[in-house]
Amino acid sequence: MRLFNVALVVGAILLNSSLTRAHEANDARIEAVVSTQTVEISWGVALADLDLLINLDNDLDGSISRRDIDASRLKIESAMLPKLRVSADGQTCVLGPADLSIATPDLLPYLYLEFEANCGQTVTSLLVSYDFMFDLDYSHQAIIRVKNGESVQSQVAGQSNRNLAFELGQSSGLVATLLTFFASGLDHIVEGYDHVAFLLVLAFSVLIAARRENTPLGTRVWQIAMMLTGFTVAHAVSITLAQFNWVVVPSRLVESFIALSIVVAAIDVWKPFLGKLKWYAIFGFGLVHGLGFASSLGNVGLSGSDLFFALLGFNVGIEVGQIVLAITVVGLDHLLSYRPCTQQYLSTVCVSLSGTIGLYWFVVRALSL
Amino acid sequence: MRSLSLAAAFCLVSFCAAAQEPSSGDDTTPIISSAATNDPELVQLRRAQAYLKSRPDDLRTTVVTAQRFIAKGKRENQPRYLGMAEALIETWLSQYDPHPAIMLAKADILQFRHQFHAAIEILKDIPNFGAEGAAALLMRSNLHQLKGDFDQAANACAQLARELNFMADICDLHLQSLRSEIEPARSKLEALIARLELPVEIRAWATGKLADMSSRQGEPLEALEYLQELAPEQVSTALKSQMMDLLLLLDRPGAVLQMVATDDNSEGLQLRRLRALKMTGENWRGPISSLVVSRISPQQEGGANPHARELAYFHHYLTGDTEAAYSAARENWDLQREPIDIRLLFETAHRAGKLEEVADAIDWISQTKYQDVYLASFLHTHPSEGSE
Repeated sequence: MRLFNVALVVGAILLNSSLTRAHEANDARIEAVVSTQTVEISWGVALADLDLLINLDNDLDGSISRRDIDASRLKIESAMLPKLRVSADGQTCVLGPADLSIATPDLLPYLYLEFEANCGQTVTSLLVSYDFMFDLDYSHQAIIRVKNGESVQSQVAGQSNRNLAFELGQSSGLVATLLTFFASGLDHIVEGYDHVAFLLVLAFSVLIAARRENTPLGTRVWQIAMMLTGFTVAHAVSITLAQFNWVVVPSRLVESFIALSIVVAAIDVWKPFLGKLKWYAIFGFGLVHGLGFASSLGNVGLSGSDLFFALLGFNVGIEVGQIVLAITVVGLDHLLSYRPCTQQYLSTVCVSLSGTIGLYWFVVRALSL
Repeated sequence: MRSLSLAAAFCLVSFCAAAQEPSSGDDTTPIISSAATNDPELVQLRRAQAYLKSRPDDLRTTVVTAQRFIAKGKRENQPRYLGMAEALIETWLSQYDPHPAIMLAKADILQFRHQFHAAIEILKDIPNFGAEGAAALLMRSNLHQLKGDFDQAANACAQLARELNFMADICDLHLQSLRSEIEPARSKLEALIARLELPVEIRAWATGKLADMSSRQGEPLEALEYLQELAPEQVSTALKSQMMDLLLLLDRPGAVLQMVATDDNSEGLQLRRLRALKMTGENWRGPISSLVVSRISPQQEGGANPHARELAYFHHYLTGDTEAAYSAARENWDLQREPIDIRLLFETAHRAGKLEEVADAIDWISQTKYQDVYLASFLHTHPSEGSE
């Protein structure tokens, strides 16, 4: 009998697989983006972990659905939020209300809490205290990434390493804020394909009309510059309004209208119907595009002169991006003026393609396909 | 005017469509199955956990619950269950003279996480008698062997003979096979398995050792046949990996694809499945390969990667990134030296044109008289400066 007992324990040990072992597939993920006085935090936890901690299957049907999660919202927030503390330069930051969403990075369903931590002062160092799940599971880890401008630091919080310090360097100052947001504005043009498509259609609309009326190059450039300025003034206004939360429009609506603006502008090139209303339409579309820019910029978490310089830098960045794009289009068009067929072909393809893609985006965005 | 009306209609459609946000609160589409509701074993274990919160002095329940969490974690390749076992035993472990069963559980968890040195340190403190003593000796022997320290492994095996003679024999025969006496060791082990009525887990373990010997003798088909004699429920993840390696060596990727499901949680098995896909000319890149890469890549720059073996395997057999494969195999060499690790090191070094950098591994082979027909043939075909 004794031999049997011994063999039993030994047998249990032999069940161990020495060839293959699983990784910590359930690591939590925290992204913290520092913006002068605030930190935007996105905290993802594997749904399976959360289910073990606070049984999310509210209706006991054996699976977890969005309804279960919504019904457990309070339970989730009270299990998670007290377990994460963020301090900036010794001062505890105040966590704002959280948005809840589900995503499946790497095929694993994660629940994400997104919220803002207001630190009340310029953040130059950050201490993240992570104390989630350790009562239950010592193998739990959180991969914490802190982004401050272009610099990204990451560390892993674990059962024996719960307090992580991130040195972010000195306050960047107004010029640095201006430059950072200028680069961000440029990025938004480079990566904003819908904005680029709209601007292409606008530029070609002037060039095609100019060819019809045989307008000199200088006049074409002037017309495009005026159009871009109107567009920029409009989006500067709406970005500012959105930043102060004076105007809040659902992003789906904004994105759908941006797509629609491309379609309308393309139709106007081939079958002009806007007439003198065109300038108002450009201003109106500028307002809508500005809301789109504002939505991807997010809350910059600044106030006073910091906010002024950030918005200035951002809008100037967008404007510079637009000007570069317009110069490229006009330059290309001018270069091709000795080959009218190719010139016409390029304009036709660009406008038609932009209009078609705009229509596709409109359908996809409006119907949430 | 007609066009203007058209544009207005477009705007209206856009507005209406955008306003129809689905109400997420009514969505009952399952996102995942709830283990906390569906898994009866887990429900029981969670109850035991809750009970232990109120009765932290109940050693017996702590040990049984921790052991069951560990077994579940290994069976399902879910590290979180081992983390739960660890959370249960930690208070007991911090006592002056922890119970051997608690120490054994901790060592088992550390071994699972590839913290071999820490595991050995704990095992050394477990008295060499009783069920836990025998298990500790066997684990120590395995760990020393894994690290390529065959003398220490043999020493632990010899001590095991006092408690479990036949286990000591299996352990010793496998070590002999690694060190120059592969054929007699294989014959003796085969006879021993046939002669004794071994408990199923021990039979499966011994059969795995036998298959390893055959494989190193250059007889993969025979090795595969040994493993195929085991009942499916006896085939652990480790043995399954071993079988899949043999099938891939025998150019039978189709059989490998049938052995592992796409939702299997083991990176080792998924890597072999991806390799089989590649061998059959199918697309192996996709969400599963991305998932595997995210799990086996180092989490922190400069930090040790316990999954260096899997990373080396991935680059060597799948991406063909020779530098990355060799670098991972080299890192893995410092951690573990099982047959697959040794082969990976030499193959990746050869592909990266760095065979001269593995002179230390060749020295180790000479010193330990490590036996592997495949490796001997490889070194004969690809002599490097280090081996000449």
